[in-house]
Amino acid sequence: MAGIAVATGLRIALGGPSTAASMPAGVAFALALLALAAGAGWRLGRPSLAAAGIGVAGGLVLVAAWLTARTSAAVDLAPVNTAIAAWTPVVALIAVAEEVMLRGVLFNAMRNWGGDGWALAATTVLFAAMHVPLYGVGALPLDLAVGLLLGGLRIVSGSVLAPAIAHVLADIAGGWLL
Amino acid sequence: MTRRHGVVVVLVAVAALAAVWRVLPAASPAIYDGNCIADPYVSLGGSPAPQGATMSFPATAAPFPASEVFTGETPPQAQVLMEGGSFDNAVALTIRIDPVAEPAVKPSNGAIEGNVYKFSAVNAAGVAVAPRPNVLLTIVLRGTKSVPPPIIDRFNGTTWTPLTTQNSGCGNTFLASSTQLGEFAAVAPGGASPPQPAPSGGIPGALIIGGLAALLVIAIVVLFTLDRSRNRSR
Repeated sequence: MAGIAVATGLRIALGGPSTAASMPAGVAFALALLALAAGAGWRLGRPSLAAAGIGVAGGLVLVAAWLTARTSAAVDLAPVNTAIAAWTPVVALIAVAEEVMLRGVLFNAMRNWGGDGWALAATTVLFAAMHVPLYGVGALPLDLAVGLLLGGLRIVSGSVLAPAIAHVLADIAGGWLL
Repeated sequence: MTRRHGVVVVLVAVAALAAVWRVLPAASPAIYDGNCIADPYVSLGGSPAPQGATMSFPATAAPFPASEVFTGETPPQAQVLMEGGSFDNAVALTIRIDPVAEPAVKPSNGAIEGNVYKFSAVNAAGVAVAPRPNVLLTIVLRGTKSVPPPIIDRFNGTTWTPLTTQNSGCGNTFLASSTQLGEFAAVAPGGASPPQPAPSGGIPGALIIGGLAALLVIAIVVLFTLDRSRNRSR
């Protein structure tokens, strides 16, 4: 948890007032999380087709829930330009790194210590807390709900692959769908 | 926890998510790098009033530091990012951002959306100070919408000049580089009345949601069936 706090601090320090949109800060944050995960002994497991499917389904649910909250009934694709082309892999890397560290390393550690319930609670709260410096306290309810959903996908699938795919899909949809 | 418990967690989370998004401000993009929250755009003349920003730099022999000045909204409605050495630091300097009334002259490339912001740098005597030659300052402005993406224009007191503009992320923010300060605004391209998306221009949200829900059910059933048959065959 301290490592995650340090990585988040690094992202804020590098990103300044535009932390949420700063690509270099996001890349540094993601690499720091992946380094932490590797240091903690996390290794890629054998990907499961079912976990991937659950992840895709979870991502579609996230996007669908977002679309229901929009005031506009129409959806358009963002214009393709250099900025969004560069942003897409960066945001995917950040999402995967967050999931590897939270729903991978931390979830496993907390589950071994106190069971799935504690693992779910800890990763959900930490997921929300680490986004507060970027998006403000107002984002806390939304982040808690998203963290709970991603944690639920982790339990249903038994793999970090599902929340990682869902997280990537949701983030990318947020940039590409207008 | 069993897989069934996990499904319950997911359902509770989806309900919570839908409820949270229902009460968010209308301008919130809701998903961006996970979760971007943006307060409603604050217009000049409205309540609350849009904020300005001021940052002072004392005279020093050291080079002008890399700095950012930004207004207090979430996300900031106006900000300027300056690289180290952007100004001569031999005299004390104050960088200001102020929302100002729209000039009588209108941009030729569209209609101003949001506020016009005046970015200025003055010395202790109140005299305007220009950035060093060939230094690029990054101006970030928040627009009121992303479609069509606005262009950031600079007003030099006589005419508006469109700048190459890129999407900057959360909350319809856009950025452009400029070698000079002055008045800047996000301009919706297309003349005085920005084009609205045609009713038939996009895919109806309800259709997408229905399609996604159907895909979700089909994907789960198919993938679990495939996984089970793979396990049996081992």
